[in-house]
Amino acid sequence: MQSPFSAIFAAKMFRHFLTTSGACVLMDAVMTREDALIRLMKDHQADVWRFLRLIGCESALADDLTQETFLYIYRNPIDEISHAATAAYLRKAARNLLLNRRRKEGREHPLDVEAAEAAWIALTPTGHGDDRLEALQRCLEKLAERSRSAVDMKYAQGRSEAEVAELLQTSLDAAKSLLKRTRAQLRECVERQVNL
Amino acid sequence: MSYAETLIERDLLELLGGDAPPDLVELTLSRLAAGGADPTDHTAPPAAKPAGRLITLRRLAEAAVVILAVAVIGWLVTRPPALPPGVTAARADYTVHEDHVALTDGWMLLTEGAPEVRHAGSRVHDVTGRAVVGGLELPDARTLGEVANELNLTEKEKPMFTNPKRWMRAAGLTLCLFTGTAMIDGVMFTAQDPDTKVDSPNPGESAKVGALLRTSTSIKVNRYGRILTISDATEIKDITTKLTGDGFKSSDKDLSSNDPYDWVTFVLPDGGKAVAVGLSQGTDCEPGYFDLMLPGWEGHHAYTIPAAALPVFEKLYERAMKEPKAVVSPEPHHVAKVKEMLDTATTSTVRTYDKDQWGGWLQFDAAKTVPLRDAIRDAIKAPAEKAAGWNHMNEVRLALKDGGVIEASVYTYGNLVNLKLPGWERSVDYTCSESLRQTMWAMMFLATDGPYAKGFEVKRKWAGADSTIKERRCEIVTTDEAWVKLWLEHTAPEVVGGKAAPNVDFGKDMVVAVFGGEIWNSRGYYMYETLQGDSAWTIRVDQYRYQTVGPDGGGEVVYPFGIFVVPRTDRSVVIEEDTQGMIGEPPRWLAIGGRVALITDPPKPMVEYNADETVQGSWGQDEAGRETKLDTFTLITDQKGWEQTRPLVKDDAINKLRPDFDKQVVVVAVVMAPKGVGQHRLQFVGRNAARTVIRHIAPTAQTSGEAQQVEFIYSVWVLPRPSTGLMIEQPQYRRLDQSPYWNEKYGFKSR
Repeated sequence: MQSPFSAIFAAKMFRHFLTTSGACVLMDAVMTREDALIRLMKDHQADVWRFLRLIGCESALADDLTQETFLYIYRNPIDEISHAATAAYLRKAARNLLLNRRRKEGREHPLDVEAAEAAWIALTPTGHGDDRLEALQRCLEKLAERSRSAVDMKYAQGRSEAEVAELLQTSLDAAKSLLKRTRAQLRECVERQVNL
Repeated sequence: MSYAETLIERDLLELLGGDAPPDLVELTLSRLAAGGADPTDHTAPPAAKPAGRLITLRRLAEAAVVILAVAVIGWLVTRPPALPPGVTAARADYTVHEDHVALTDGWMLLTEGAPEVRHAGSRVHDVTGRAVVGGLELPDARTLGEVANELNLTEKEKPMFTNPKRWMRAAGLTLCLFTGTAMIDGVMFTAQDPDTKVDSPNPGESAKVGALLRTSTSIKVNRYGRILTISDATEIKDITTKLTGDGFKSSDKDLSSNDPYDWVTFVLPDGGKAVAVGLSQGTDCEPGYFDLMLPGWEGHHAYTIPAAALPVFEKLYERAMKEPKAVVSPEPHHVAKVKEMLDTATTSTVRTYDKDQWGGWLQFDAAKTVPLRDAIRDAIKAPAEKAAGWNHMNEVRLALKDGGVIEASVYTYGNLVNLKLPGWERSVDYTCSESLRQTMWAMMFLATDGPYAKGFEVKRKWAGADSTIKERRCEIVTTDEAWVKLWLEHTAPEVVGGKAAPNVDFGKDMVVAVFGGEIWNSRGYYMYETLQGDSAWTIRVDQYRYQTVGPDGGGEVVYPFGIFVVPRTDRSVVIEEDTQGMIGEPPRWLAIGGRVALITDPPKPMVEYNADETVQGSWGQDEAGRETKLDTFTLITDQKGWEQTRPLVKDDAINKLRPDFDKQVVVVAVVMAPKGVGQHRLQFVGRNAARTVIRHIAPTAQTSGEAQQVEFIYSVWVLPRPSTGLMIEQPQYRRLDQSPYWNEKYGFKSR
């Protein structure tokens, strides 16, 4: 017959093992719905906002729709089976909120749903946008000096392409081409990095 | 600019230009507090923009002609591509790729062998039973019914399919799992209904077995790890007709020495599998044989093969050898390789058996699977000779990185684990170390208080065969008033001495009571399983039954009951009872009661009030004998009782008490304690509409083993007269640093 004392002792030891091994997510106290919402937002709000910006939302609208997305999830809780799955669901809800908003405003929003989703997934296979940004940071460090300068002028200093051309002492077309090539180079590099 | 390039550009702006996502938590919570949650379904695509003006009839007709023409041309040009085996579609838009099917809209029925199905960034894969996958939008019941017919669902599956509560909404899709398991984005889900399997005939009923095999929807042939799948209906009919034709009959032959690593699987219409192994070709003097196992059978049974079927199987094996080699599990005695395969487990589901009940299936992600799979890997030693039974085990299903599932059953008693790797048609017992069973216990402890816990704890239970409720019924009690009423009805005074209802904290708990009515040979009910669904909880009960002998079977008439205190839920509750009459057969669940979601609030806490008067004192050991005339607790409700009791206490202060028995009662408590340890402490007096509760702490002291002087300590409390039953409770400490659990000590029914 199983001794309850040895079983309880084993249970405690096992809990201790899990706690010390960092696997003890199960130990979390039961959360309220508000706690769950806060946790969900902490995990996903940045990527929902980024996705909305990707599909054409201006900054203020992305702020607004990100909030609405999570309020919707608060009212309609989902089964969270993995980070990637939850992220996919949130993107879908955010996307439809944007389309609804545009409809109400009487405007059509040009959006190729599948293409946007495919581009996001290809560059974010882990479901964490931060991983993609870290990869991009590493890729930036590998750029040739001229390409890096062009990128810095355009995105860090907010200069126009004409200004970039002037500062690099080249033509406007050449500057545009350089930036386009550099973005393509970065995309390939990021795709490789995130799939390592 | 493509979306990929735009995404890089956005990331550059964030990384270098500081255009980063803001923290919106506070703003969102403010909107939530202001009631800003939007109830609209935003997972559904937006409705089409309404027409701004009227369209004339002529234009309408022109448009209809154009649409019709385009539709005809479109249908001719873009007819839906043929679906791979294992997939049936209804009202679906999809594209078929080399290694998966992309579902854009509609529904797909997936059976074993179906390829991966992707939808909205999520994927369903490794389906081992039957499941329907669809988009996030669930239509009305009527449309669901129509879709069920288009998918050719079985009669058992249709009610599940049309019940929205049976749908699981996860990731970017919905899933209705009828039987077996399915994985969504690497996480395994298990069907909840063991009774949806086929009703298999007995092994000796060759004709019925043959008829069942002829209903197969697909056949898989495994030859040396190469798998041929046949899904053409004509070919399946030809094979099964020849196999079950003249000469197909049950046999007693022992085929256990035949090679068990080639097999033929017949997939049945409701997802069950009939598996044939150990095929022998026969000789001029003897027919060929094979071992067959149907769903629900405990083992294989031998059948003879008609002569006409032998060439068919030879050709099938030849064809199988041309298939690419599939993932092959090691043979059972290669323990090191079995352990290597265990190492590839990524996620798992676990269900435990303890205290006469199954827990629900618990989903474990990769982090929680690692210690579990490592424990199994490190514990297993060598194949054991003992045959496995199915009872009293903890079950684990480990999903492997390359697909497939390892089924492991860990015995509650004895150091054995039963394993079944992908491709094995028989499970194998292994000896294992004691640590594995301990780990499973630990898993159970771990699961019961974690967010992944699906079952719930039975906090208290009463069961027996002598209820005074003599009709069959179920009750779910959530208020003290209803509980007291039910307990009084259930416990006639002669049964429990007029004891009042035990205290239940209905703020946290509720009572599930099942009464079996007048039946034979039962010792009462026990909780078999609790399933904690999102919309409803299912509570499954079964009875402790026994057999008797004697004239007419010697059956004993009983009135069984089971009363369980479980965590309170406001969700719908369904009570199911196992109606399986056959020993060793899987349960058959029948709903016997329940209730819809509760909308009332939990009851308010009891109102506290004080004793009107208290007198405390003691008498010495030299007066031993006086206490024998007093009960430990005495409730005095009238003047006559007071006159009889008061002189026994012998205290002047008591003589001065003048209780008004129209408005008051008196409780006299007497306990023996080491001299000088103190008095009773009255912790709490509270009441609500149903009961009055006195909680008191009696004086206690640890003894040193030496003879000590003792004394008798008494307390007399004059209390406002309760119109309800009265319960006196004493604390029980599980641990001294925790709050006590209050246990009823004495109770008095209301007059």
